[in-house]
This record gives sequence, structure tokens and C-alpha cells, in this order.
Amino acid sequence: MMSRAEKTGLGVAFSGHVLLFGLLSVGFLATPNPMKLRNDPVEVQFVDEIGLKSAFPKPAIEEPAPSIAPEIGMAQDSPPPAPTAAEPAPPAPAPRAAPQPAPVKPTPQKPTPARQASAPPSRNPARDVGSARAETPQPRRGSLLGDDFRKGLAATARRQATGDTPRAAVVGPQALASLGAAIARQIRPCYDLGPLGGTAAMDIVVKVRLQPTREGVVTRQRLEIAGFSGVDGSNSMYQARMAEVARNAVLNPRCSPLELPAELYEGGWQDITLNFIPRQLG
Amino acid sequence: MDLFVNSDAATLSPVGLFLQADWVVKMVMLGLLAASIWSWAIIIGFGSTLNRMARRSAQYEADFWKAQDIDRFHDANGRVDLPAARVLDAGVREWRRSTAGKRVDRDGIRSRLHMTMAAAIGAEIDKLSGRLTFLATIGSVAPFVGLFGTVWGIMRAFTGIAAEKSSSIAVVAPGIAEALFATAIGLFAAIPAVIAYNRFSHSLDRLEARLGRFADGFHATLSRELDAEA
Repeated sequence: MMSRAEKTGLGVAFSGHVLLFGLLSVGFLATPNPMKLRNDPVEVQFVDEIGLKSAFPKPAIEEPAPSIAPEIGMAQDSPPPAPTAAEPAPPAPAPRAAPQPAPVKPTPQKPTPARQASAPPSRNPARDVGSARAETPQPRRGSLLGDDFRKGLAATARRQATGDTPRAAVVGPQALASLGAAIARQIRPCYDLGPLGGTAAMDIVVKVRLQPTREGVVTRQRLEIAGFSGVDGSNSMYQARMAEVARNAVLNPRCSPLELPAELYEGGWQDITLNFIPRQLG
Repeated sequence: MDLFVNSDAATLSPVGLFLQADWVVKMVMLGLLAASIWSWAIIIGFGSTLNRMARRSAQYEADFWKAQDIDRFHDANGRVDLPAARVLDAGVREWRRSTAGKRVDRDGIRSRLHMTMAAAIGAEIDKLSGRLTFLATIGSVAPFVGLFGTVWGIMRAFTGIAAEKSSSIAVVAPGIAEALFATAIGLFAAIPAVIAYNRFSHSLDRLEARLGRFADGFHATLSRELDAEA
């Protein structure tokens, strides 16, 4: 059936194919992997920090400065001319019109009733301050300059403000989240999954408790693997290795000490628990 | 879970891709590889046969036209394994059979000579073109077979995604790569087959035309012989 030429051809073709695929198998013409296609490092994220305590800044408790000079009442408009006046008398200037008794009925031209409540009974507003303040508590309008202000500045040398910046009572969840982001940013270059990347091991979330010193140094004693989540039958054998990856990332001298805001140390990153979520970027 | 994720060059080698593949894709790959080997065997074997045949046929025809006595030339060279020799053999046999009797029907002899030599040419071309149909089949079918393997492999890769509940490139890439490898082998088998088919069919056409010219010349010689005998 097959001629001699075809048998030769078959032999040549077969050996040629074997040679070609053998060369390809040992990496002949293989493209190098210049970009080192690796999985992206993970992002550390807080998932269980909720705001149980108020992180609102403390309100200022300093009292306002007391008045020294006698307080004066509110500035008041002079009462408008009476609408009953039919004669075309020219409007009198305010000081002359002041003693004229105003009618009891409310004037329709004034749309602000708060002013009118106090305006009509006070004919001499400069002397009759007490009754007006008894009705509606007003902010004190006394001057801080007393009669003896020319005696020197010593009397006014008291502190006007305490100078303390209002501090948060506790480090709140938002501050903790930004702390977590800062820690994640610093740890990320050192978090190397290696051959575990892309495998089921990436489902494992490692919870790491850190107790850095004030200088941001984390030692092996100050680090504790607090737990795992996402472990199931397919990846339980990677559990220890994932914990080791997280520990190595934190302890890597390239990424330590942690540089974090010092004012958030106490109650903040003095004792902080992080979740390492490998699949955060997947 | 396999650890072929951070794949280096070794796992993307043909053998690695083949070993990871599904059995359907494996069958496709093996079949296409066999087709490629066989088509290259045909290309090499047929090409060398055709070349040698063309060279020897040219020599044979030149010798024939130089020969003085057709009968003697036929007795000496009639058994050579060449298409031209077989055409000549068919013509000479028919001539001897037709002129053996007492009555000679010239027109009948001419038409019979023409028919027998044309039949001999057709038989030669048929014998040679039997292999070419295989090349044509591979050239047209191998891409589809490879595509079938690819589609199957990608379906399997998607099933894998669904099972892993993860669409990261590390999960998808090996399946896609092994699936595409099937199409690569299909094209690898098909492209040389198509090129060789076109080239060989052209060569066969030329050979057929050449045999026809040779037969026509021989027929003309015999026809002159017939007229001279009359």
C-alpha cells in the first residue's frame, strides 16, 4: 500500500514532529516572563470595628468672658409714626418721637414679632434692661472694657482660652480604618503569597493582633495570630502557611517600623487587630 | 487544587498543556497530531515521488522521440515504472491487438487507441491523486477539529470557574491555554496540508497535460503508420 518514498516521508515527518515538540517542551522559543506575573498583594481591611463609643470631640467647657461694663439692651428701632395721624405732619426725628406713647395694637408694618414683644413696653431702653432680659434670655452684650481699662492691661491678662485642642475621647472606627489603611500600605510590599497566589489558600483570612511599641516596632512577641476565617476543607492545609505569610509580612524589616500618627497610639494602634484578606484585590 | 498557577515556561509547554487537558481535548490533540504527521509524510513522500517521476518522465519521453523503432523501444523500456511508460504500453498493446487481424478498420483503431491511452492516463492520475484527497481533507477539517477542542476546553474552563467561585486569571488561564493549544495544533496541521495540496494538484495537472501531449504525439505517430500501411 505505502510506497518506499511514503515510508521514508512518514519516518521523516514523525521524527520531525517528535523533535519539534521535544524542543518546545524543554523551553525552546519559550517567552520569558519579564513582568513576573504574580498576584497582587493583599489589602488589609477592618471588618469588625464598629463605633461602640462616641468619638466626638469633647465640647469646650470654658465659660465665656464675664462682662465688666454695665450691659446695655438690644439696639431698638424707634417706633414708627402712628397710623392714626391724618394730618400731613412731617415725620419727626427719632429722639422727639420716642416719648410719644405707642398704641397697644401691633403695627402691621413690622413682620418680626420677636422684636415687638420687647419693644413696646420699654420706653426708656437704656434704664429698663432687667425686665427685658427676664423675659427672653439674651447673650450678654457687656463690654469687656471696664471703666478702669486705662489702668493697664494687667487686669485683662487672664487667659482667654485654655489652648487645649479638643481631643477625641476614644479613637473612633474611622480613625481605625485609616490606621488600617496606613498599615496595609506599609505592609503590602512585604506580603508575598508566593506559590500560594491564586489557589484556594486565598480564601483564608488571617486575623493578626499587633501590639507595637510607641516607635512602631513589632517583634515576634508583640504579634499574635488571633484566628482564621474562610477555612474550609479545600484549603485547611494552607492555614499555617497563610499565617506564616502574614507574620513574615509584618516582621519583614523592609516594612518596619510602622510609621503611624503618634496621637492615635493610645487606644488606637497600641493594640490593634488586623484582618489579612488575600482576595481583596482578586 | 493544583498548583499550576504561577506558571513558568515548563507548564505551558506542549506536553504540560496536553497533560492538563480534558480527555476530549486530549483525543482531539492526538488526532490532530497524527493527522499532522501523516500529512507531512505525504508531503515528503509524494513530493519526492512526483519530482523524481517528472524528471524520469522527461528523460523517458526524450528517449522515446529519439528512438527509431517504436516496437524495439517498447520491448526494451515498456516495463519501466513510469506513467508515460504505461501509457505507451497501453497504446502499443492496443495497436498490436488491432493490427493482428486481417481486416483493418482505421477509424476504429484510431478511436480505440485514443480511448485506451486516455484511460491509461486517467488511471495514472487517479492512482497518484489518491493521497492528495487526504491532504485536502486535513486542510479543510483540521481547523474545525481544533476549534472543537478549543470550545470544549473553554467550556470546561468556565465550569471550573463556576466550581471554584473565582474568576481570577490564575484559575482561568491554564484552561484557556490548553484549549487554545488544540486550535494551534489544528492550524499547525492544516496550513502545510493546504499549501501542499494546492502545489501538488497543480503538479498533477501539469503531469496530466504532459501525459496527454505524449499520448497525442504517440497517437499521431501510430495514425501516420496506419495511413502508410494502407
